[in-house]
Amino acid sequence: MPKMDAESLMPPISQVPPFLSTFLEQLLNGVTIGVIYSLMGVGLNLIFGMMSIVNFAHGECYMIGAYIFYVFSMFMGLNPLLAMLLAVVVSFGVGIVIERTVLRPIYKLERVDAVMYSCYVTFGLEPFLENLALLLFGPFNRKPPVLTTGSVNIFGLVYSAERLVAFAIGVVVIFAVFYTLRRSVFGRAVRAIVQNRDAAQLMGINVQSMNMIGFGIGIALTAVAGMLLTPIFVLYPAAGRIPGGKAFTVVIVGGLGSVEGAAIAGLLLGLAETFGAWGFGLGLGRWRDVFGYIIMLIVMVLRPKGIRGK
Amino acid sequence: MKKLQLPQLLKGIKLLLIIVGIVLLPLPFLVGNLYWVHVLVMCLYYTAVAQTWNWVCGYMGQFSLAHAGLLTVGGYTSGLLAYWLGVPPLIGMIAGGLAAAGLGFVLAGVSLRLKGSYFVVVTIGLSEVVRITIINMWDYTRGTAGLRVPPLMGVEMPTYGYYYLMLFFMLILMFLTYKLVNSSLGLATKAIREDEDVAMVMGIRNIRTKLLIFCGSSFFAGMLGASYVHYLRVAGPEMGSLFEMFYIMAMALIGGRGTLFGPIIGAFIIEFFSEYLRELGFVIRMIVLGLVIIAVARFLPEGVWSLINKVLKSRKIALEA
Repeated sequence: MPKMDAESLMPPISQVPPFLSTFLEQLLNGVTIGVIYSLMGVGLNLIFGMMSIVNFAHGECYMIGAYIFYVFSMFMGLNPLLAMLLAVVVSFGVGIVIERTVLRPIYKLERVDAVMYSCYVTFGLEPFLENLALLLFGPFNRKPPVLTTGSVNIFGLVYSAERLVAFAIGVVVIFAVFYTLRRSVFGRAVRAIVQNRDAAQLMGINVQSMNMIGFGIGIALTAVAGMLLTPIFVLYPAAGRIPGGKAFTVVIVGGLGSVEGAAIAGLLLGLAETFGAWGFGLGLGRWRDVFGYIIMLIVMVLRPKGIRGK
Repeated sequence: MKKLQLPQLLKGIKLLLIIVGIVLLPLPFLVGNLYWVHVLVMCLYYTAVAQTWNWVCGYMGQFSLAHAGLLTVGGYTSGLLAYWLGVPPLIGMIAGGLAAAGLGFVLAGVSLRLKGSYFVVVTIGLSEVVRITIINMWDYTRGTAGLRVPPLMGVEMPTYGYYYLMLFFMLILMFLTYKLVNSSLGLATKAIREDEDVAMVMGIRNIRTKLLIFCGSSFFAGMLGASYVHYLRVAGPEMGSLFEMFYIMAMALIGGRGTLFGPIIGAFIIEFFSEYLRELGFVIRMIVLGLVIIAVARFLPEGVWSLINKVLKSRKIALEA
């Protein structure tokens, strides 16, 4: 009669050696968070490429998007997937409102003044949005619903399915953005504006309304990042600060204004951070947030325009 | 009787500086309450800090967001020296200034290579590296718990004493700014703000000007950070956060960037404003401040000083600043 104790009844958890198993886990963690960084970086770079402004409130838009998702799914009790789609639309609207109300005057200014003005305005938006969320939702840690539960067995490594779903959605969204930019009329217009705004205007593109839509899409992309990552981590009013900082690193490493560069750099940053924090067993975990800035400084010295910058 | 010629009297800005000195000298004894004296000290501190930022951003047009980081470097250099080695804070202040000037040297190098938005993002990175490093090296810096440091003069001093010390620092910075703006270096600085390439073509030595302004501004920022730390007697990593930077930026913007008196006006407005809003809580205060910043950037980009200047000009009192 075979042994019937608990140990023999449990499925084998890990069939690969511990080191390799950890390595695989870190790799998956790295690409998952990397895709989220890519999403944020692509949004930020789209905005920068079209409007030449750095959106300092990008991290706060990440947080706002996640809160909108939370309201739809938890307060109104919608299906998470439906809530996510609705939240994306609403975040797009938020982006358009921000552009219409405070960023519009930028087109009338000289280039240097425009950079200053956008810095002031978006830097003023940052505490505004963060404390608005604090006022509306309180300082509590919240957890938006996950799209799926359970775990997946990958080559003997048991990995949480929600992270894989977040990764998959992130990849799909990024490729959808690339496809739109490459193939559609809208994408061609966006690329024309990124190349030369005045020339694009002369070619009959309505630059103002295109910029408005572009800003909305940029905000919606970072909102998607928030909706995917906060169910894994946690949502609170200041949740956007650290990812916001990462998004800046991503665009600098990838090249300001280059969407492909941001996608690559996001993955790189995610991997570098996860492996750096693991440190192959050296215990460098508390320096996790510094690795990104170190990479940024190295890229600054070796290739100031970033890996895909022009 | 000969009529008093006010315009001639006020020809130089020096007299206005003296008036500021006369108004500010008895002020702590007029507010009555020690708490408000502390608020006044903070006003003066922020005026001086906003003025050093004004050199870089207002006069030279380099939107650096590393200034809170510079304050932190100065404050922690002095604080750590005093805490671990027992160096007197007055010497530590100079060491803090020099350490911050070192970071300012790096900033100048960055600003020579990168323009516009690139530069802004990198300065954020530098400032965050400083903050995270301080939080992480808690075995030396005590991390987020804060580092307890000795008072500025080595012995306890009443708040009034700190008020006059800060006033002294602030007036020195105002005087230096006045001298700077009216020197050839100041002209070169403003030329760089208008157009860097044109300035270089006109024979302005960009590298030298940027190094001087960045290192000078950072040196004073570091010293101010050190004096702030020794006044509060505790150094915390939050003094390098982006919110602190937001405060400094808001002051320079609301007062009027690139003007001599803008930082004074801005610092006093913001500091008293936020003290009054304190009853409503931090949340409302930051929401209102954010909205005010956006509104000022939108409708009054030259700041409050431009309004005052307009009134003065209509009365034919010319103030060159």
